[in-house]
Amino acid sequence: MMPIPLKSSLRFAALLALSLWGPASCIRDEEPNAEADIETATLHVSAPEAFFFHASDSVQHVSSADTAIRFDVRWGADLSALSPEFTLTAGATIAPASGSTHDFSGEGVFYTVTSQDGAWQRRYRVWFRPIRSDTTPTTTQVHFDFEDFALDATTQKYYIWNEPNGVLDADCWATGNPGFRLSKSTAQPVDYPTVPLEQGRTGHGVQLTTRSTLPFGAMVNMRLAAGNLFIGKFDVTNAMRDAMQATQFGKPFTLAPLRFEGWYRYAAGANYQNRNGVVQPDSVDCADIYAVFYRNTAADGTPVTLHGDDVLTHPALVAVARVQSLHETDEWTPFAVDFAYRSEVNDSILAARGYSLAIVASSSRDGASFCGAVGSTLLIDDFSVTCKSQQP
Amino acid sequence: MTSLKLLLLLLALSLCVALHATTPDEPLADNPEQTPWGFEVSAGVALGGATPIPFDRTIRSIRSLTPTGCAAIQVDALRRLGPRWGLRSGLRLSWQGVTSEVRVKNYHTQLTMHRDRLTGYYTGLDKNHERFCLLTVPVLVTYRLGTRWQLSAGPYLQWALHRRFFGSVYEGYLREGTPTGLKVAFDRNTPATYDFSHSMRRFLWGCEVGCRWQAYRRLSAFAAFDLGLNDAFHHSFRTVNFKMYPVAATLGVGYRL
Repeated sequence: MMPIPLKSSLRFAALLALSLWGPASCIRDEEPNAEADIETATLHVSAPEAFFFHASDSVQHVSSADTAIRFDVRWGADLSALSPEFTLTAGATIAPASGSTHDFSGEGVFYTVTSQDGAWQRRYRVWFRPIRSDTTPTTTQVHFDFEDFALDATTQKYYIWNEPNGVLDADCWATGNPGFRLSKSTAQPVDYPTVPLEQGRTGHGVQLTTRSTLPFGAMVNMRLAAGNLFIGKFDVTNAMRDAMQATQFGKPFTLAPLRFEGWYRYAAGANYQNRNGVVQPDSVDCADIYAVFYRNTAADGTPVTLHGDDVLTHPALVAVARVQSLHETDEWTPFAVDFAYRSEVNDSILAARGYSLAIVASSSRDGASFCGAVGSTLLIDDFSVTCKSQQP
Repeated sequence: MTSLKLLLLLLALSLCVALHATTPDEPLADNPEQTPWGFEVSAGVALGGATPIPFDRTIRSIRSLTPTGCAAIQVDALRRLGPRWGLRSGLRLSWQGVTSEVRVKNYHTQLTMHRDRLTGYYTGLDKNHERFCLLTVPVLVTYRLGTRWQLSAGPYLQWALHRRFFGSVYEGYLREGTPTGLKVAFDRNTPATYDFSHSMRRFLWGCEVGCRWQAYRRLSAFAAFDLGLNDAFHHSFRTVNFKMYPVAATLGVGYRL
């Protein structure tokens, strides 16, 4: 009896079978690339510390969802002749050319990227936003009334919220709605986890509801989407790969927060389920509302952003205000919690946008790991952050 | 895997014995093929799965290809029509499958579940598992070449008793809608899984060519190759945007009753 190495002989037989169809089944020439993205935008200036607040601001990693690329610069920076450089997806070309010099003192410059195969184009606006840091905000109370919302301009599928108070960026509010859209193409704007509430405590509020993402969600083991609203950015590209990393908390904030207040109503959904969709009879869903204040630049100058998995534990945290007892209630109920400081605030770093504030609200506390009860509903309205008055 | 190994060893052993036991041109005394009717039972190794023909240009490399299942049993009726020509038909039950890992680039796909839909262009890895249990009825014309060799060709009809087509995508990304759409990334740790088993056809047909070598009076070795001529997926299935055809090779030994 001759010895037969089983696996290799099977492979050989399979390859033999395939090779019989060699003329028909073989790898054919690669098509030219169809993608047309700016992946990074970089501005080299002679004195970056004088031009930008942080040297790291000179490089912008551009999300596939973005068509506007914004550089935040110090007030008074000379924008009349700048030469930003771009990295593009393989084979793509850009006009005007990467590194060409333009006047950015107006609304910015539009660039068009064309794919290698010539069939696809994307148009980007690159602009610079000068920010004053010599005058601190006069207010010590920052209100969030959630009255300014609209359908997302690109998709018209879900709501986004703007913040007109002037202390934070207008686009500071983010939600997980863009991720939910991928799983529910047929959902109407009101079916999303985060939707405007017609009758808030005053004017409009926000309704956060834990929604099922089935059947699509099961493909990626993410069977529900908690309603959430937070200050920061939702990176939908990474929503499937690493949901915790997709929630990027915080925006630069030039005041030291002392107290976090607001109003809520909450009803937990009936069946708390774990990540695998198995109902846990002994568990009850609960909501989560908190605010964190953290140092947004590391000692070596690299930017720091808190994510879903470290927003309450990261060593960069300076102060945390977490609402401890969010019991179920069908009446508008106030909450108020002081920021518990772990370290001192440096006033010059504060003025130079070196700290970030994040406010986070979620209808399921464990929603970031896709555990919770479908139907849990958190209503929020009239948040405010009281800040330390600045020395004149 | 043990039964598979046993089959392979049996096959190899019988081929070995056959090759040493007879000299090629010695006429076989009392050859049952000389009778007008005959019956034969066969067993062998079946390799195969559904494959795109020709390969789509979005398929950039095959990183691995591993056959599984791989067994076939068959009962045939034979009818001699003349000194060289004849007919062969019967019933083959085969278990076959293949696991493949391929890298694709800008591969257009549309996932549909109930009314929800996600369309786009995927670039990255795709690990796919195909498993079939097939009942095949070939109707073959046979032609004898000398005393030992016989060629056969003809159509077959096939019924999939069991079919599975599932897998996962990872280390890649989907561009939603168009190649410039939103990028949705997938990791090896958090792949997106799929199962399109129910979008596969049960009824298949195609053509088979084969050859057979008469080792002994009753014992023969054979090879048959099947090529499906209808798409392995239902017409309405859009997720795989090129046609995939079932192909299979069966190697085995037959025994004339």
